[in-house]
Amino acid sequence: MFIRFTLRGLQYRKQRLLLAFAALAVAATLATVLFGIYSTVDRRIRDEFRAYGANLIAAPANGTNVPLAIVSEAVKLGGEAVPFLVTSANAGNEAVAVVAFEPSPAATRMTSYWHVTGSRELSGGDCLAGELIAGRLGIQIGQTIPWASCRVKGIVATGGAEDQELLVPGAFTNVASLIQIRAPGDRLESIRASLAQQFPGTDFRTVRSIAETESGVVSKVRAAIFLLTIVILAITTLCVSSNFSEMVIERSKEIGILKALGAAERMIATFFISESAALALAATVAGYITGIFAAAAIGRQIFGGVFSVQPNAFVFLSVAAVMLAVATLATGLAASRIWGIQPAIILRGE
Amino acid sequence: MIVRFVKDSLRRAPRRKALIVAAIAMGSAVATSMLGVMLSIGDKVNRELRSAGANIVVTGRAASVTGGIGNVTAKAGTGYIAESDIPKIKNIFWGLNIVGIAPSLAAQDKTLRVSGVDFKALRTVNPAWSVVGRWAEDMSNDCMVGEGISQREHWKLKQDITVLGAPCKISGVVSSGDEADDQILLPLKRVQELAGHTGVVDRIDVAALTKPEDDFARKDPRLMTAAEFERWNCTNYVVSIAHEIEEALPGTQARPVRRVADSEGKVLDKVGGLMGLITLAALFSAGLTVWSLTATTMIERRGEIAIMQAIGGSRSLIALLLGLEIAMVGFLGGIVGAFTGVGLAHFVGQSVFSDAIEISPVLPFVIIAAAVLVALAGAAQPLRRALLLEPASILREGV
Repeated sequence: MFIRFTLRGLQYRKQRLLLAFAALAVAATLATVLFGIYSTVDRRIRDEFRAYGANLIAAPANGTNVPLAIVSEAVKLGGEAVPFLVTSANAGNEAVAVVAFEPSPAATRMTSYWHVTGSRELSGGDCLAGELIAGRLGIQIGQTIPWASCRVKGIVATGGAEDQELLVPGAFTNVASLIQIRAPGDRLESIRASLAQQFPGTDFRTVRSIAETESGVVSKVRAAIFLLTIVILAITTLCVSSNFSEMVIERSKEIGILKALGAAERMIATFFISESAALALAATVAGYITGIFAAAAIGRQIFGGVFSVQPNAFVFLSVAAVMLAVATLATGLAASRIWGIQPAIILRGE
Repeated sequence: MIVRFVKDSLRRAPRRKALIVAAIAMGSAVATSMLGVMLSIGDKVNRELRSAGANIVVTGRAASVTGGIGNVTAKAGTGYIAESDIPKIKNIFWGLNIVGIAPSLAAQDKTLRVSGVDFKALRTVNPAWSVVGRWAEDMSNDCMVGEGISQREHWKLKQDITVLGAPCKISGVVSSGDEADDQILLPLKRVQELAGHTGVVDRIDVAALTKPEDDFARKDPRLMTAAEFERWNCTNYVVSIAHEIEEALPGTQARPVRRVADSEGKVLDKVGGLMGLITLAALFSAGLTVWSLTATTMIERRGEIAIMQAIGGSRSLIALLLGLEIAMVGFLGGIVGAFTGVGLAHFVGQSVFSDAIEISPVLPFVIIAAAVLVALAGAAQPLRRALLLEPASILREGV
């Protein structure tokens, strides 16, 4: 009989139910999308900070070298590491720093901020000249530098130390002059401590400007999004709850008739609440599905990468729990009127 | 009569009306606070990003900037910048976007690298540097040493050392992760005197608030038309600000520090995109709230509309009366909401960024107008439906 009531009810009140369904589905979609954004905002922003390059430098504490084993150790801990070897060459009456590195994809990522005119594809015998050195010594692209025996394939401009250096490809045996390390921002301190413990002869320096800025921006943006998400969800649940309580209030006549026919208030209330719960569940499912597709589209649009729909049981259950709670609570509160309704008075039209 | 109608209807069922106004107010508050925060978060994050250090470095033309990876340095060149020229940087078009100017002069004491700096300015440009002890005063016998160099030379805090032939006391040990860790920092004036280069510096680190580079920014200014150049110059790209600095200080080279400048552009773009998205979601939900509310209200009042039609009211008059009523409710809710929203935005700004958010005075008025429009839009369809139906069939349903 319950089911018959519900289905008939659906038939007659399509417009009203549609409105309530839409309101809750939208709320569920929003909650899913916002949930998705909030949980990944950390990682997304930290990914952008990789453009800054190294946030940890391994430099010699005493002496002039650091062990190359640091590279593999850093990679094992989850970071990226690029070793550099610094020597000096005599360019006429001037000493020029010559920096050797392995032109690997990791090195390219670590130095993505290098502005190279020409090409940075280096093989043996090639080199990159820093902008200032090139200007001072009149070095051109394609030229062979006698005092360094290499052909200039590109000119590097960074606004930093590289502009004064000659960058050459090189292979490493077991030492380096220094190693640039990029550790995931949230584990920087622990990785640093672990490396420092394993390699006591090396100074592991946190690049404060990058590390502090990264944690500062991430925490602030996350806090702002959190606050704003709470505000958005509060307003949507308000809309949802007003819809659901309206649905009860406007059926005062029906309640009057049911009571006149002898129905217990409890049963009527249970009936309304289960109707709302069913509607809420259906709308949540619809909203959640829309939500994960929307989140995937957004993820692709703003952050690039693939369109990946990621269903997540935890998110679904949380969203469903909240929506159900809101719907049933609103209905329940409105249903408290049922006890006060006097059939004769309501049916007379007052 | 119109006035009387609207006044009367506003007085009737005040509790119901108050609820509607409250709901519209909440929607408007959300919209206002979202837009307020979104429009200024770019600026806030930009300031936050300035703790990454200088994004422009100024050197004398054809000079060499001392410094390098490891312990090898290139020879100090002869390109100096007059110290008296430095204030000119603040006078460029984008002077107000310059948040820090740190001049320095490099010197060598045998194998030790010395840098004469303005400590206060250096601290402003590099707020993330960690100092054990305290920052040195500019007019004093203090000096600061980098962590690396102090380890190698076995120096301790408060120790007296001799640099360039003159004594100084180590007031603080700097750990920054970059060049400063291998340098001794002295007050600029002392280095100028001791090295015999009074009144000049060889490098200025500038921290500026910039706009992320796009394709337009990367064009060669020499190849631009006059109008294009004007636009390029008047946008705070890091390259245009650098260009302006070069013009203000003749004989210098101002170059973007790519590691900082390029990366912050990427971060700003992504944060902006994220915020824009969330704002869109919020505006949508706020709009939907108001819309569904007025739609519901209009559905409920079908009986009223039917009666008005039955006693002879024309459709347009009824639409006008009800429309006015909704507009007023929307207006009231909009006002309350917009100003609450401004307060909310300030709250978010204060708690997250410890800084007031600047909200354009136009924003509340735009929101109020939007609230009225959305309220009317929501009511439009149900109202139209109700007007088109036969009054008798509506009334038979029961008012």
